[in-house]
Amino acid sequence: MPLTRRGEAIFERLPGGAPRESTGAVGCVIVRHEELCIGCGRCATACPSGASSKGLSFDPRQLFDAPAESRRGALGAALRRVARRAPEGPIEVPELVTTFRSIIYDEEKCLGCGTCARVCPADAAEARPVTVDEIREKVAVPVHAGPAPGDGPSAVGTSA
Amino acid sequence: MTTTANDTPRPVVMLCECAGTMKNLDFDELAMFAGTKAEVLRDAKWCSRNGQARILELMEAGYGRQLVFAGCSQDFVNRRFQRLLQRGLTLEVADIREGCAWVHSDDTAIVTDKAVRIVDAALRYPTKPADALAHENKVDSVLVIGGGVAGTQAAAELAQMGHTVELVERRPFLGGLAARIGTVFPTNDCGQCLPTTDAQAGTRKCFHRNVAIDNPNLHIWRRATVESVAGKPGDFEVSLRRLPNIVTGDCINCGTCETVCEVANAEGNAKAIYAEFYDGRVHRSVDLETCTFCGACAEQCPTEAIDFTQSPELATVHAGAILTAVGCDTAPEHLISHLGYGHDGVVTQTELAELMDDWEEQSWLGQQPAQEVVMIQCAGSRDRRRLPYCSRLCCMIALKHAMRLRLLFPEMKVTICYLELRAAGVGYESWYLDARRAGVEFLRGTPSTVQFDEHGKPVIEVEDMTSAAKRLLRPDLVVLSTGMVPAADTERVAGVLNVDLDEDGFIEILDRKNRATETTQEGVFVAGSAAGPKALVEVNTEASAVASEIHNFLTSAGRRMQPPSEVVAADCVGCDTCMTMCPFSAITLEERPAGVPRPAEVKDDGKLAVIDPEACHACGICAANCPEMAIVHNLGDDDLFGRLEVMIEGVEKPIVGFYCRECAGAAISLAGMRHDPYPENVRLIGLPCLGRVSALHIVEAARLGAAGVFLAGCAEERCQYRTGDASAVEQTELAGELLEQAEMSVPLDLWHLCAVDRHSVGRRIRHFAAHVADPDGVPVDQPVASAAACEGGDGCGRPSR
Repeated sequence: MPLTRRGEAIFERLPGGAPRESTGAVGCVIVRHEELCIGCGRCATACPSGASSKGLSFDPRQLFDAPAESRRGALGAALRRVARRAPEGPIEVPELVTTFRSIIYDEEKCLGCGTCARVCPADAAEARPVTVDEIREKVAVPVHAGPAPGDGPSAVGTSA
Repeated sequence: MTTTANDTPRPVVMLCECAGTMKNLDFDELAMFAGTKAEVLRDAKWCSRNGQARILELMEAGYGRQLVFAGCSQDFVNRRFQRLLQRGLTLEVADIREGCAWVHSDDTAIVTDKAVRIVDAALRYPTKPADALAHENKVDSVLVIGGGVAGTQAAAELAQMGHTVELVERRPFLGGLAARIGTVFPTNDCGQCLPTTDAQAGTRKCFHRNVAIDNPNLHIWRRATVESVAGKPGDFEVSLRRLPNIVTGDCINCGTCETVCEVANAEGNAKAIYAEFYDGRVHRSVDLETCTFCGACAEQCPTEAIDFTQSPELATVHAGAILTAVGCDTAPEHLISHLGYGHDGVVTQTELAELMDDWEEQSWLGQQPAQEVVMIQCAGSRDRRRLPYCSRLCCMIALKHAMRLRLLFPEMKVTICYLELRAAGVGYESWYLDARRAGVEFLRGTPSTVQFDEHGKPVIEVEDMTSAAKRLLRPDLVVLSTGMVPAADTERVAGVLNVDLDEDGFIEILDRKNRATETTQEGVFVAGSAAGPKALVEVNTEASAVASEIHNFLTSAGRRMQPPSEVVAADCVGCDTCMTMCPFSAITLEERPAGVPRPAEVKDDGKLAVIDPEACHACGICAANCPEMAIVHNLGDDDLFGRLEVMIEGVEKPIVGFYCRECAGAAISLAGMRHDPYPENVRLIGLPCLGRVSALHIVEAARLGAAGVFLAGCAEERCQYRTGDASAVEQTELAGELLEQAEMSVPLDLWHLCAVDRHSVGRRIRHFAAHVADPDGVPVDQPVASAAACEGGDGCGRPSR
């Protein structure tokens, strides 16, 4: 559900409109870049609906994909050197460890408020603007009572 | 969102003909329309003595009835009916004069139709009355942070006014920086004068002679710091931490303790028990960092004034208002090390002042072969890599010291290297001329570094810009006119008090033009150099100003409060949008209490936005930005949609103008007073702040058929609600983009107005209307003084060409 209530109210009035830039006001689609995620969990704390939450496991492949110049990238390179075989998937994290945890993102629960993207320190949560097609799915019957486009201009000062 | 219940009596419309000045209005038709919805009372002039008496009767008889006044603008009503409003009159104003009759043509039918709509909108979608006061009950005490001249003077004045004052000073002695620097400009005497009490002769009295500081209302907390602040304006709860002074008030300054003490302090220039500045109360203090607590001094003290049993204490005080007077410091060493600071023979102006004040040091100065002194202005200041700002004091300090040096040592050659000399103040220019006459050399040009020869003597290479020649100076002493930086504790104190800092790190003042003693937090004030380096003359003025300001705050009935915005808990998802947008920090995210409704999609521990009604200024910025539309402003979305519909439905090519009732409102109503005409299809919607406008409202206007929408707010960067303008700009851009994509584009414009724009706003509206009528023929980006739109004539405000 990437549209907020304000977004719905606006697009009910505007067939064919869609924001060009991401804005929390009308809604947005969250795109996660796992390779940038540092697992701090700020998004999970700030998320109103629980769409982002801290997982119980960690996917070491996140480290391999991390930017080479970052600390996590260096850690990934080191891991690659010492590892006997490539990890197959997420590994379970002991309860006491807080940092190495993958964020679970559940799109179904997302409200499109963009809070996670605002609080993310690593740009791992990106807010992408909603597209016209996505809006069409959500807002079924747009009302359009305005003047038809292309009406010719008329003299100023004439009203009623 | 009408508040009329079934059993409330019919509203009353007071129709004012304004002494027959609205000839293009058919009042009979207006009355007939209003009569269908309300009881109509007509008067030729409601603001006359008789009219006001009628209103008074109405207030007494018709208690609880909605009163709509159809006549002049809100601003005019506020002044004309001021006394009745103070007695509790609540009016919904329908501006049919400046907003309609006075600015429109003689076409009675059209003008009356617009007036009917204005009255209809006011009747059907009224705003809530502002009938409450914020911060009504206030604790009659003040916390003053900082015992420099600003803080002590304000504290003494406030204590004399009868308020309880808690004066908190980090160091053991009062007096601040002024106590250290000796003489000050522009009077060339000490900087320690404070206001006197009635009990003293009306002469200047310095710290140690002044009994005003002994006022029983004034409590001095030495060596104390503010740990935390809770509560709200009018009743802050402040936690203080105080270190013991060890030396009590029984000290008679015999000096025995210092002779027996065998421990030196960290700098090695004083004993562990020491005297710094006598502020009239305490002579000595103990340096707790170095003291070994051997107790030798306590044994020898003849008056038993040394008490080592004291221990640090935590205390809580209540304060109605807080004054920050934390002052400033001289620039730290790393900002002036490029000019040789740290070497022998290089000192700052503050150090020079101490050298000159102390005769022993002075004789050192005299005994040295100090034949030549060079002062370097703007040392570390006005430099993007160091201090980007001008500290404003250094020029005058240099002049003062140069003249003093010439007086003390007539043989000495004193040169001031400067770029610009900023000597603007009462009597400052004559000081500059005096310094020239005293033989001080002024060299235009400042060196980028100071070098040293093999004997360690400074060598300065500087370009003299006046003669365009390189000069080589070999002074005995280099004096750096360093800038000022915020006092060390400023950032922490600002954090504790929740006030903003400006780009230079000083306490931000609320308004650079006319609210120099208020901070961004209500009930927290600022004075002196805490808000930027200031000369003593300004510090004294500000200290007195802030004392009266705080007195006003503490004794006033309270701020008249617009009905605060409310959060609909069932819709609030607990994102942080409103909290980050609120310019008054009135919104917090809190745990959702049990039993409070919650939207289905919100997680179990989801937060709830809570608005502090007394901190809320009802600007509507949060309501315009809430993604879930969960905040209801006193002019709700439904009211705004309703007003829009009433005003433009069925009108041919209407133009909607949203304007804030602050600066833009002043410009528009003043333009109305000037009878500056604009077309009748322009329909104005007044808002408390332009930040109330959301993209949704603009889209709704377009949907209802608006052919153009303009927004008018306060002057740029001068929004009365700080961020409303920025929010409106953003929302307008979003609306424009969305309308364009939906191929429903209408001309959109946003103007920044203030009262002086009364001359141009009419022309602006006319031009915008002309652009809307003919988008290709009339460009939108030349609103003012365009020949195509300006018809000239009486209402134009410009001389006709």
